Amino acid sequence: MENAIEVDRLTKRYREVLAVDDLSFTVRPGRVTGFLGPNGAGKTTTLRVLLGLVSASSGRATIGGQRYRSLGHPLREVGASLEATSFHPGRTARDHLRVQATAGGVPQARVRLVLEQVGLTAAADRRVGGYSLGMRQRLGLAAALLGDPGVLVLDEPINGLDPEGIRWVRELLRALAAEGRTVLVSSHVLSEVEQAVDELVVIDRGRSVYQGPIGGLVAARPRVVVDAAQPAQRPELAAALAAYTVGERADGALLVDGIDAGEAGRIAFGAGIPLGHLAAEAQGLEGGFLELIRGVES
Amino acid sequence: MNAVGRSVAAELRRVLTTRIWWILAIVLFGYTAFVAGVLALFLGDLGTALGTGPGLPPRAVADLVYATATSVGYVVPVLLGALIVTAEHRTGTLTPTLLAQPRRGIVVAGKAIAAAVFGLVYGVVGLLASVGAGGAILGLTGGDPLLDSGDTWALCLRALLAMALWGLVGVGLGGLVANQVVALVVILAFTQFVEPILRVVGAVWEWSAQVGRFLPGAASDALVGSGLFGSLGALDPDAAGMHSATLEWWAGGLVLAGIAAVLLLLSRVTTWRRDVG
Repeated sequence: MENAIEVDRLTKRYREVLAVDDLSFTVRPGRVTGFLGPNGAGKTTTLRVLLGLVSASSGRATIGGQRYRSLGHPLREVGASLEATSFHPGRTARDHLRVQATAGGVPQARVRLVLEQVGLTAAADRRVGGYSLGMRQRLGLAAALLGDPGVLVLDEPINGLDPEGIRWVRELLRALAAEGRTVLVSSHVLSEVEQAVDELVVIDRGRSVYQGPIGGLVAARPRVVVDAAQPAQRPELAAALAAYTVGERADGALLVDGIDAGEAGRIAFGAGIPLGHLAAEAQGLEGGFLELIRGVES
Repeated sequence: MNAVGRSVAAELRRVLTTRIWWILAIVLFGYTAFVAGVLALFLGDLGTALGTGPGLPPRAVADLVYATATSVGYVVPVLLGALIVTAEHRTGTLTPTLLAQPRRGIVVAGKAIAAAVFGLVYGVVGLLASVGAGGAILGLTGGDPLLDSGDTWALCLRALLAMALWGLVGVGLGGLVANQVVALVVILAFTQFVEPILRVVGAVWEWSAQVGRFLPGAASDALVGSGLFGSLGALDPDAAGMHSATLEWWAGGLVLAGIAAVLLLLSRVTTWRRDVG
C-alpha cells in the first residue's frame, strides 16, 4: 500500500537484551496511529530501525514497500522527529533547517514556511542552545514537515510541551492525517495522545500487546465500580457479581470487569440489592492501557 | 544536484553555520604569522648580520619561512576534519544528518570533500600569514623574499594540496574515533609530541631515518618541499651526526593521500557501520 508503514516480524537484539521481539504491525494513511508502550518497551528502537539508523537482527520495516535507505529523497517522503536534543546548540533553528533542506534536496523556501507553521518564526535566528524543551519539540516538528512528506514518524512529540502546545500538536496531527498522510506518533502516556489518535499499536517488552482502534482498548476492558447502599449487603453483592469481580477498592467498593455499568446495575437489581454507588472507572482508557501492560508483566 | 553534491553542500553549510571554522582560521593566521616572522628574522640577513643565523641561502630561508603554513598549520585542517565528524556524535546531529541522507558512504564522501575544501581555505589563510608576515620581514631586513620566483609559487600550490589532504586525514581519524575528546587528544598528542619525537629520534640512525620518511608529517614536508624538522638535518646533513631522508614531493603527496584513504576506509567499515541512537 502506498505510504503505509509495515513492520514485519522485526527483531532487534542488543547483545543480551531483546529490544524488539518478533513485532509486526501496519500503519495506514489517513489516520493517526498511536505507538504506545512504557519506557523501554522498544518503541524508539522500532522507529530507528524503520528509519535506517539501527539495523534489524531479523525481519524488516518498510515505508511504501521500501526500506528507508533505498528512498531517493527520504525527507520528501518521510518526515521524522526522534529526539528533542539532536540539534547543534551553536546553530540557529533556521540554519539547522537550511542544512537539512540542502542535504535532502528540499527547496529552501520551505524553511520559512515550516518555521511559520510551528510558530518559531520569531525565534528562528536564535541559537538552539538557548531553546526550551518545548521550542526544541517545535523545531523537531518543523524538521519533520520540511519536505512536505506523505509519512510522518514522530517519537514522543508531546514530551515537554505546555497544555497549549499539547492541544496544538493534537490538532496538527489530526490535520495532517485528514490530508491523507500516514501519521505514526509514539508516546508512553496514553492520555497524552488519546484525543488525537484513531488507531493504536501497544507494545511491551518488544512485543505487540494490542493493535486496533482506540475504542477497542476500552471496550475490551470496561471496568466498573459498584457498592451496595448498606455495607452489610456487600457480601451478597459480591456473590452476585462474583463472575466479574476483579478486585476491591480501599473503601470496600467492588471493581468489576467485563460488563458495563448498566449490566452490573441489572444484576444487583435482580438480586434485590440497592446500590449506593455505580460508576464506570474514570480513567477507563488509561486503565485499560495499564492493565494490558501489567497483564503482560504478571 | 546529485546525492554527493547535496551532501557536500550540506556539509559546507553545516560548518559555516557554527563558529569553530573561523576561530581556527584566526588561530592559524596568528600562529603561522608569528612563527614565520620569527624564522624570517633569525634566518634572514639580520640573523647573519648578528651572527646568530646559520647563513642559509635565500632559497632555503624563503622555503622554510613560507612552508610554516603547513609545517605549523597542518594541525588546523586535521582538527576541522575531525570536528566535522565528532561534533555530530557529540551533539546527536548524526540522527538528522542520516535521516536526510541514509546512505552513509555518501555522508562520509560529503564530509571528506568538504574538509578538503576547508583545507584549501586554511591553506590560503596559512600562506597569507607565512608569505605575508615572513616575506615582509625578509624584505624589510634586507633579505630576498623571492616573491617573483616560480619556485615560491610552486611551493604555495603544493602547500594547498597538503592542507586539503590533511583535511581528509581529519575526517578519517574523527570517523574512526567518533568520540570528540578522544579525537582531539589523539590529534594533539600525535602532532605535537609523538611525531616530533619520532622524527628527532628517527634521525639518529640511517635505517630509522628511512622509515621516518613515511610518517605523515614527514610526508607532508616532503610534498611541500620544506619543513621545520626536515630542515634540521637536510640543510646540514653532517650536523650532530643526524641522518636525514626525504621522499620526492610527489611520493610525499602519495603517502599522505594513502594515509588519508586508509583512515577513511577503516572508519567507513567500522564506526560508520554502527547503529545510531
